[in-house]
Amino acid sequence: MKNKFTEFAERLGISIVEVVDWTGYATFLYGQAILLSINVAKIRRFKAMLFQCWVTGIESMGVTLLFAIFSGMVLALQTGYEMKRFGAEALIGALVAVSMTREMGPMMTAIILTGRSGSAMAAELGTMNVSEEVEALEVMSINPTNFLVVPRLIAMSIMTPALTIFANVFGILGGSIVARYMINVEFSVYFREVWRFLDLWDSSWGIFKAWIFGMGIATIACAQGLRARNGAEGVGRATRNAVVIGLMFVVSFNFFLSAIYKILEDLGFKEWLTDTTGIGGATIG
Amino acid sequence: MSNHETNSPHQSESTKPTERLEPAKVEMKRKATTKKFFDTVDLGSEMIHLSGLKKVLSNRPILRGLDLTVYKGETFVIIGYSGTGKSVTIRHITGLMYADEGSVSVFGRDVTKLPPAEYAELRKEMGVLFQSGALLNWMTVFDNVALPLREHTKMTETEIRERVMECLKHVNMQDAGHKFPSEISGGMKKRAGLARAIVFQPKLVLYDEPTSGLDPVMSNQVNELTNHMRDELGLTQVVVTHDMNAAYMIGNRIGMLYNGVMEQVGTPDDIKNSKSAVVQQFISGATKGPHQVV
Ligand SMILES: Nc1ncnc2c1ncn2[C@@H]1O[C@H](COP(=O)(O)OP(=O)(O)OP(=O)(O)O)[C@@H](O)[C@H]1O
Ligand SMILES: [Mg+2]
Repeated sequence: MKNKFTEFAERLGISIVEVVDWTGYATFLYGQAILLSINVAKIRRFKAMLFQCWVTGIESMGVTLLFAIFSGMVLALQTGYEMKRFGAEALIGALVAVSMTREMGPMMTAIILTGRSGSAMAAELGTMNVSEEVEALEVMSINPTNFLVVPRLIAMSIMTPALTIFANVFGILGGSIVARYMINVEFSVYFREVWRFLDLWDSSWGIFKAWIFGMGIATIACAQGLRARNGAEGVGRATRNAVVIGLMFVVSFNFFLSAIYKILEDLGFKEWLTDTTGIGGATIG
Repeated sequence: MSNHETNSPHQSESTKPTERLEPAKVEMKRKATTKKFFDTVDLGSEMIHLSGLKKVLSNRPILRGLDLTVYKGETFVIIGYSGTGKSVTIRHITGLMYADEGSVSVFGRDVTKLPPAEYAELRKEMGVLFQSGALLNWMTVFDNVALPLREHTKMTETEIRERVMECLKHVNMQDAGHKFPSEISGGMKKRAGLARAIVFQPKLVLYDEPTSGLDPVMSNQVNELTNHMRDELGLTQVVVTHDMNAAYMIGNRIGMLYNGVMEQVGTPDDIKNSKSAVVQQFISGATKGPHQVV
């Protein structure tokens, strides 16, 4: 009994050390990549970055948009019939717009990119690591963070917000189809409500969240890939970890970022922004 | 090309690229594979000197006071069992690992505590060939070989093309420049890796298991190339291998790493006739002997 317990405690201890060690490494990698990307005015990495934008963003576009359309549709469907019972179906547009821009759009995009791009990055860098290619870069005095991580980090931090904007638009469009043909809300009514409730600052915060998610996903995937050991098995583990940790990062940060926004809103941050800039603010809040 | 001499205190040594192509070296017959140690080697000039090198990794002592000297112009072969620290030794020379104790000097310069940034500079005078060639799979062979030049020099594309083709010619791959690593054989990958290793005109080339995973003909091809590098380009080379045929064919001297130190260092003949039971077991591959196979 005691033996089993010490064994368990030991293993737990080792796991904790490993988690802390990896988290430290990921944070360090992020900091290093940020410092290096500030310096990226050396347009040399531009091509690599565009290539990553293509791979992470453009190639994920189809699946993201499909996902968005169906999410918008199901949102409209689920709420539409309920609202119709209260005669409030005209507000479907408002509901879909608010849910998509605040939560669904950024979350959904981040989840798709974690599964699609995060896993691919971890697998790619992991394979490079176990086949000595990363060491070869170091030997050639080419900094692997600069060469491999920076283009991916930048690409993800551009493409996640960009895809989020598309997801928002297509989610709202998807909702309009269900609203029109299943709930009988005219397009004009639907989009009038969308427009009335769409809030610039809410949507911007959603896109800001997407930016954070994108950087997090890329950092986690790269840090897993660059720490992969022991051949194919290690690459598999790195890929799996990149997805699991990526998803945990997205859902937890999503909560914290939303909470921060609510607190800021409470403190009158949004009114202050609207007043000082003279833009934004929904007609009905 | 950049001037390599700025990094080396050995200004008087014949380290200029032109001198490394000296025809006197070329006359060495390549087929005389077990060449005598003194034929090519300049004993006056130490390229690498490791002394009392100690390194602990994952709480295990890997190197336990390793002494090793590699002279200019020789091919030094390191043999040893898997996991004895051959690759770790190489990493101490390339500066990817730092010694716990002992000292490392490369090109006559003490680099034991050289900061990584300065080591990165020094490393440009070394080429490393990895087991799989370590080519980047999204680039063609040509771009792979050109990579160090594009990263570290301001050479024009024409100059780069010239230099890369010259290197590809050395490894008989001038026609495969447009291919991707996935389209070429394992032997070609290693040859391309070697072309990349010499693209910066290094003084020293390190090979980590260049022939493992190759069929006998391809292995010999790589071994011949290794000798070509020494004889035609006058390179100093350190080769890690398990392959005794390769070791005899390319080595001016062979050293066996065992238990974190050099069990024996000598010419191929010395090793063949070694009195050490450890060495004899390794070269004969006997399962019974001082080295316990678990
Ligand atoms: N970065 C590292 N961290 C921890 N342990 C390491 C590290 N690098 C190597 N080791 C350990 O050091 C030992 C020697 O490794 P090394 O790669 O030098 O062996 P090797 O002699 O090259 O063997 P092989 O013929 O299998 O390549 C191994 O047990 C390895 O697990
Ligand atoms: Mg090794």
